[in-house]
Amino acid sequence: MTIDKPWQTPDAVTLRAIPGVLGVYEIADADGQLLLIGFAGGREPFGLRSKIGGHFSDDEFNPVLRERAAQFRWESNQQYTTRRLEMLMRYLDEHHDDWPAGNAAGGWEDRPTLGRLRRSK
Amino acid sequence: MDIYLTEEQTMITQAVRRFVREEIRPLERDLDPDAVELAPGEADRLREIVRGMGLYNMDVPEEYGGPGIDLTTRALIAEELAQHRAGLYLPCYGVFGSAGLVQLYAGNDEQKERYLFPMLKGEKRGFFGLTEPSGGSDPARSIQTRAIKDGDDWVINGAKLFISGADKADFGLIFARTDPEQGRKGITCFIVDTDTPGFEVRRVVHTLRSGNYGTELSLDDVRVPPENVLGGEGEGFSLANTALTRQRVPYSAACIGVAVAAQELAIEYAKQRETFGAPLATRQAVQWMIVDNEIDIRTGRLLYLQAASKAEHDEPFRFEAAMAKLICSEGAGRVVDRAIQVHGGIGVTKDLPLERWYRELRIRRIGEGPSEVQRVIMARDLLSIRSGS
Repeated sequence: MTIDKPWQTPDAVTLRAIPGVLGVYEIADADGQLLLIGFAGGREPFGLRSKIGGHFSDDEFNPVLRERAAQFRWESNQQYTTRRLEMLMRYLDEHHDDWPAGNAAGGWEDRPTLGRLRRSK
Repeated sequence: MDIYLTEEQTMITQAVRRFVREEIRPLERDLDPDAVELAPGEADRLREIVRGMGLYNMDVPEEYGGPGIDLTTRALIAEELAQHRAGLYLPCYGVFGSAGLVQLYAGNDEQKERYLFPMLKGEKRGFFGLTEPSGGSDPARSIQTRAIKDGDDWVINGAKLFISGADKADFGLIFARTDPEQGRKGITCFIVDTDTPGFEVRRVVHTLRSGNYGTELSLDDVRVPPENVLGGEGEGFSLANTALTRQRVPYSAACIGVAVAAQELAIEYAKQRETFGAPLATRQAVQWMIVDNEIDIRTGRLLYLQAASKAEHDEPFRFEAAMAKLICSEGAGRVVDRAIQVHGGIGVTKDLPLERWYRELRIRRIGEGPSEVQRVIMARDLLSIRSGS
């Protein structure tokens, strides 16, 4: 199950409105194609706000996100670790085991060890 | 029961303690507080160190290449392995290996070739599929998954819940009812390959254990050949209970390990933190919490060592293992709770491991048989009655 919320465009107002809490988020390009499934964990100074904001700042080093990131949406969630794993497993299940491009271009923490959901067709 | 460790036990526990403190804890400073894995290179490096220590796959029986560690030493190791942030459910992030599914040792030669040996070599992974939405504490009555003979094959239909590792497994042990007229004798264990049509991992089940998860499975006309029956028709219940009593001993010890780590934090903090001009350690209210922690820790340790000792002397130890499980899981929960209280606000933050232990220890009172089931086990022995009679 993906995050059931509309996409938001990053600007000073929308980014500042993100709460500083733990949770998961998705980043997409302008066409709504999902690029990254990520989480804001206990080490993130301002939770989802600083984590998502970082993707739309000059500090972003992931080439896919630097070039294409255009929208975001988030979900406050204390179980951010297992929730992100679940979202990634669902995505891979629906996309022939292809990772979201931003996860694929990121570090090892962007590509955690995943299980496999086998869904009845 | 001898409460003094042998020279070998002292050496092993000290080596494991050093490993946890010098190799694992430093890595956790950079990981997310709910992390479930190490960077790939780190895990490989640490696994090699563990192999060098002679403790890799320490739960594998000696006849299958394991190091042949006795239960007391194994429990003492479990206490040490748990003493880091992820240590309760992910001791040292798995770099000590595992014995896999102990039920497979009861398999026939062909089953061992196809499943056990690949599992021991790390080529295949398996899961244990017992608990169902209808319950887990009383599998003999609650299992509703049915297996019906169709020609030579069996066809399985049903659901399983809280199943760890099914999404990463190549096969699993599925316990299903093959004879509804028989209670315990009506349950059979099947080895099910996870690529069998009709087998589905439906969802991740999120719990307090935020770093790990169980899964929900559905089995829809899953066809299994007769050679995949493990241990014989109607033998599933006794197979499921294989080593269950034994496993409760290191399970209990791991709870005490976390309690020890929490107590260390509480003592350190109580000595350094000052309120109203004096360290917390000088306040009687804090001193009593520290002392109560130590009582819980030492009580639990004595009980798991007693259970291990009886097991090693080939004496019945079901009562002692149940008591150890109950006292260690509940006592460790109290220790972490008090340690948080000593710390005040910082105790509930993700800056410290206490909050993760607090959440995960709550599950420990339910997993591997809740406290109430442990009491039932003890009551049966004390009163010489069977449940329900």
